[in-house]
Amino acid sequence: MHDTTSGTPGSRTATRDLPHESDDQMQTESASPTDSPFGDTVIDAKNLAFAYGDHVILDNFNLEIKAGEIVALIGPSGCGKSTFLNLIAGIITPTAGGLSVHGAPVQGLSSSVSYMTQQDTLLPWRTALDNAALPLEIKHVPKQARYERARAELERVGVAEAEKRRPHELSGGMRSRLSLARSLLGDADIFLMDEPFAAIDAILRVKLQQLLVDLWTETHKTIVYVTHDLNEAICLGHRVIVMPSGTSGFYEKVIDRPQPRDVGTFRTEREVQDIYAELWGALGQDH
Amino acid sequence: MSERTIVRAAPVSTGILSSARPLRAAIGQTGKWVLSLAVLYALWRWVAVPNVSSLFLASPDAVFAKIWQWTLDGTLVQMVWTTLSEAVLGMAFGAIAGITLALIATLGPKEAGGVINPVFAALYAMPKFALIPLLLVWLGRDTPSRVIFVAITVMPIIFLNMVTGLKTVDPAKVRMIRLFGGGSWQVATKLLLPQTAGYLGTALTISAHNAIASAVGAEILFGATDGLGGMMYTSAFTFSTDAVIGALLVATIFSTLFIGIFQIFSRIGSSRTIG
Repeated sequence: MHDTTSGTPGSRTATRDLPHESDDQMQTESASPTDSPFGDTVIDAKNLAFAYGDHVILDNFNLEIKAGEIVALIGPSGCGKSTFLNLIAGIITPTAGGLSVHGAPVQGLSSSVSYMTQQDTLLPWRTALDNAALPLEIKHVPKQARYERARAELERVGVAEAEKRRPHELSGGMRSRLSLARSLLGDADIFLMDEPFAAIDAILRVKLQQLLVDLWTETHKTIVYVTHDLNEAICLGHRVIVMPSGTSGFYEKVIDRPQPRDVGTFRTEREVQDIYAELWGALGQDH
Repeated sequence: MSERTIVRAAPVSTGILSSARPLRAAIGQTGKWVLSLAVLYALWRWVAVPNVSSLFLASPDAVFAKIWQWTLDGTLVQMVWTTLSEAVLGMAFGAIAGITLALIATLGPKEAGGVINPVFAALYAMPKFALIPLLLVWLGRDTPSRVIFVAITVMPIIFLNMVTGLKTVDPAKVRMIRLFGGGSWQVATKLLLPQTAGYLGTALTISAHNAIASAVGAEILFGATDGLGGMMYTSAFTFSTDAVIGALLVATIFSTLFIGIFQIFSRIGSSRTIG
């Protein structure tokens, strides 16, 4: 149990013992700052709290995320996963505690962050090419240069042939790929992804997960990935953070397999199934 | 056998045939218009005119002769220019004010919306011709009064449609543009205006009708001597029904053309926001 809180016993933020793990065992699995293969800390939450009125969503939440790390957050609805992403993006402000990105406290929306959600934010009146090029257009990159870069990104994510189509003419998978291309052109070094592939069918989802892993291999972006799918969390994440409902503590698991992983085969391995069982227990679920 | 069936079942469609369909529809629509106008002309020419004194109802021949006379001596251009410029200027001022205030009411501080929205709800409901005595006292009977009257008429229509359109904008898309480094101007030009183009087009189409009607109405009620309304007003005093009906016909034709322009804009706007 990686407990980061001093919650009051009996309160909704009080920690609880999680099954299958002792504190000692957890410590051996957590990456220590000294042996981290990643860069400096880019996201640092210290005693972070957020509440809607009396309804506490996060309390005394502590988490450090290193540059180039993929951290998967998993937990039941309402446990604060998306809230944490919204706090990092600067969409909402903490009610207590501190949150810094690149060493500076989060104050409003930051262009160092890109945010992808299940419901994409593609603009329906623009073609795929114009949607992808939007971040460059905002930065006043000349038309020819931005189209060249946008075409290269569309090629990279596999939707080059659809550059003239509008979003409503694209499948769900193509829209996700297009959103990824646009995020990559945004030049943000932190990708916040809130169940981006949740509405995609299972086979295509694995392909998109592989695409994300491949893109990470090329770009080494820092990715904070929220999901309800344990397999997805294990296959993508360098670290999986399990956030059980009604507690400020969380359970942390380092996935000891270097990236890039072959998502299709990795998910079938015995090791993954063991981790799955362990994290399922951490979620407080019975087998 | 099966191949033969497939060949027979295949839909037959050629470029010529498919392009002929809209042409046929257009001809059919024009035919209906021509028929409708012919019936109206016949009723006027052979039913109404023989039974009503020429003092109260001019014949079609007299009306068309009057319009032809106006065309030759430049009166037509002068009248249409006066009324259209009042309508266009009034619409422009009304649209700029309506769009700006809709942006402030929707995207500005809540207090701004709290003040602006009830004002426009009242302005929309108000019988606006009742403002003419006040405008007459404040600004006189000339062009500025009429332009302001048209602006007051169209402003609530544009405001209310814009507010409705702006409420459909997904806040996540606003955040997306801001996260990419976009400021308020880029949010407005790359998201809000394209997103609300269909709503604005509809508002402008409705406003176009109101603008011409208000300009002509204002000219009549202000007792103007220029513009299409001025011609109707002054001609009525001399029982020149040929001039009154002639000005009415011209106003109807230009109003239809004016509305048509904005209908095209509205269609383009709607097609851009499909999704």
